[in-house]
Amino acid sequence: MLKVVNSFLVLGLLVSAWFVYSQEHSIRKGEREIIKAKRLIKKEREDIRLLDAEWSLLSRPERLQKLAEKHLKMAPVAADQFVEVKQLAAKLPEKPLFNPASSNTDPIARMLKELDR
Amino acid sequence: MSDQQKWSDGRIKGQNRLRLVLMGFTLCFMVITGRLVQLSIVNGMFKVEQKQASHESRLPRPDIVDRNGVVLASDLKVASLYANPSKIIDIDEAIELITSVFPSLDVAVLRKRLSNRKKKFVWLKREISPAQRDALYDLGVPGIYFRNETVRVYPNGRLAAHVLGYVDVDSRGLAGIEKYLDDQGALYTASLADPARQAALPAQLALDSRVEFAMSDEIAKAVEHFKAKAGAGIVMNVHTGEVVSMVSLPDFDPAYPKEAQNKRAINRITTGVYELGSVIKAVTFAMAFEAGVMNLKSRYDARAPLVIGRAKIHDFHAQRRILTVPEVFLHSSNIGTARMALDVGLEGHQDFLRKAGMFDKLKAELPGAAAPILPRKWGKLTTVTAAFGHGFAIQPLQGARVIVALMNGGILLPPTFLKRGREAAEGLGTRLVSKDTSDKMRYLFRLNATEGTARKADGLAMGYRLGGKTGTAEKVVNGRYSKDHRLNTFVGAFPMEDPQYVILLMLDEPKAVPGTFGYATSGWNAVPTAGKVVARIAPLLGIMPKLSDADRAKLAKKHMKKAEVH
Repeated sequence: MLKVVNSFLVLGLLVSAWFVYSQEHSIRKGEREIIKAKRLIKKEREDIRLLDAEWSLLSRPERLQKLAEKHLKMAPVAADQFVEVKQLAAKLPEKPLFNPASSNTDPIARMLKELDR
Repeated sequence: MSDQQKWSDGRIKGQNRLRLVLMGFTLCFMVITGRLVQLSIVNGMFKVEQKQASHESRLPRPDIVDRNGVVLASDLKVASLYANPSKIIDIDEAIELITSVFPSLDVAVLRKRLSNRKKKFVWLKREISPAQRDALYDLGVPGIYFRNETVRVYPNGRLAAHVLGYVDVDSRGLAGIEKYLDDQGALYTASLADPARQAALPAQLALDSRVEFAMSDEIAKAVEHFKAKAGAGIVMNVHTGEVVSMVSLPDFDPAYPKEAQNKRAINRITTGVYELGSVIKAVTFAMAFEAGVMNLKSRYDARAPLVIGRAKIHDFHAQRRILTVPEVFLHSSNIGTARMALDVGLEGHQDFLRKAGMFDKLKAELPGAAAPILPRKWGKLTTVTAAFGHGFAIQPLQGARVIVALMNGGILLPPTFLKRGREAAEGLGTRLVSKDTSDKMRYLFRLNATEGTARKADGLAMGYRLGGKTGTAEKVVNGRYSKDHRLNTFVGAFPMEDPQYVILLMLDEPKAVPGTFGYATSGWNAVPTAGKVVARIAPLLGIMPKLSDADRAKLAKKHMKKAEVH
């Protein structure tokens, strides 16, 4: 009787020892992965901050105004350039500014065509 | 007693002893197990996140963003390059590789630094960009290392410098919102910056960086054109008390805080106090309406200068007749306004100004708020001069705040530089004047823009239904009011049928220039500048222009003229 109990106990000990070991092993592995992931997250966050700051630097109104004045024929929107959606139909130019049928005058269609090539 | 009995007694004794030992062991194991459970599970549950010891002495700071999330200030990790000369194998190769990434480095200096084999540490270049670091890292030069440092950057440069403030080398906020954040507690500030926290939020300002730039650009142009000493402006949301834009020129670059030490670069909106002059007349009008001593049909005698004791009060644009209330406003009559204040009485006048918060130091988030300069004794003459904005000096922010109350239906709100929703603003304010008084003030403001001294602003910001009051205050120079040193102000709101924003604009000592016919009063400089600002910012703030056919014709003519010039 006692022998059976003892052998069960020894077996139990072996099984639980193996279980504990394997658990520990997988936890160690998990921990390593977490640390790695945390480091990656931290790095990504730093990168995002850097990119945010860089975006803010590149898109600052002062720079955009200078570039627009230099390269574009644009001006701040005047009050009479605002059109309500209801009046949009009445404001359309009589002749379309480009003829969609002939692709030569439509800059976007030309770009698409070049992409296809 | 038989042998049999003796034996069984011994056996029972032995069994009992065995049980005792067993119980002892069980108890021991239970204690150990219990302790294990306590240590690993209970404590573990509450101590999941243990703070890692930071290798940086510098506390992190949160980003500062504008109301649309545009980054205005941020902490950036930058690498600095250093070398350990004792570990460098081939100096010539090292120099060649380093200068391939940094062509600006002086080869001779570099060689001298690296040749000292006894040294273990020499700086080569501070604050290099991540791209440069990666390039150098890929070259794999032995004996070259990086050290990570954190620096505070302000990607928008000078924009909103007076609101943002700046930090010192140890990353402590010394001015502006940066200081405000530190005053909330360093740990609070650091917790805002901790990206691991779910609630980690940047410090969000009420400021709109596009509006800020538009106003700053126009004021800078005006300061240059009118040869003014300085210029300042503020735009406030009338429903929330948020400061959407605050400009004070000359300003400084937060990256070079030394510039901020210049006395001329003070923040004129909150750390300077000024006699705002005629724009304060709006407050006197509201007070007289509110006290019930006046309605829009009342008349005031402005035939002769008002004599108080030995002093004589004159009108700048003297009409020498009896004026109606709108006429007093349009001609900015000192005599008429003074009579209103006298009708309300000395006590009533002081009570109203106190209620409007003009006698107290106004503290918003920005540090260094200035206290008002008030007359020591309040007599009849004090009331008369205070009625048209002389004899007491307040922060321009205080002035703008009162105008906000006069425009939004009568609620005086605490101004804020941080983003605040309309719901959050509800309940914060106190009633200063009635809705009826506010409506009358709106009428007078709009009338002044269509027929009075603010016509130029309305012409430049056509369609945005601007209204306002001008002020030309003579500055005190050597203890006397000087005719040549003026502080010109415009305060207004738009759109007048349901005001959303209040704008206050100041030019310090603008001069008469070609095109102003020798005049240097507010209507010739501060007013058109404000008009230009509103024409630029109103579309950004979502105000839809409304134009009559006559307006459209005028605008079309203007476009034609511009096209001809080009």
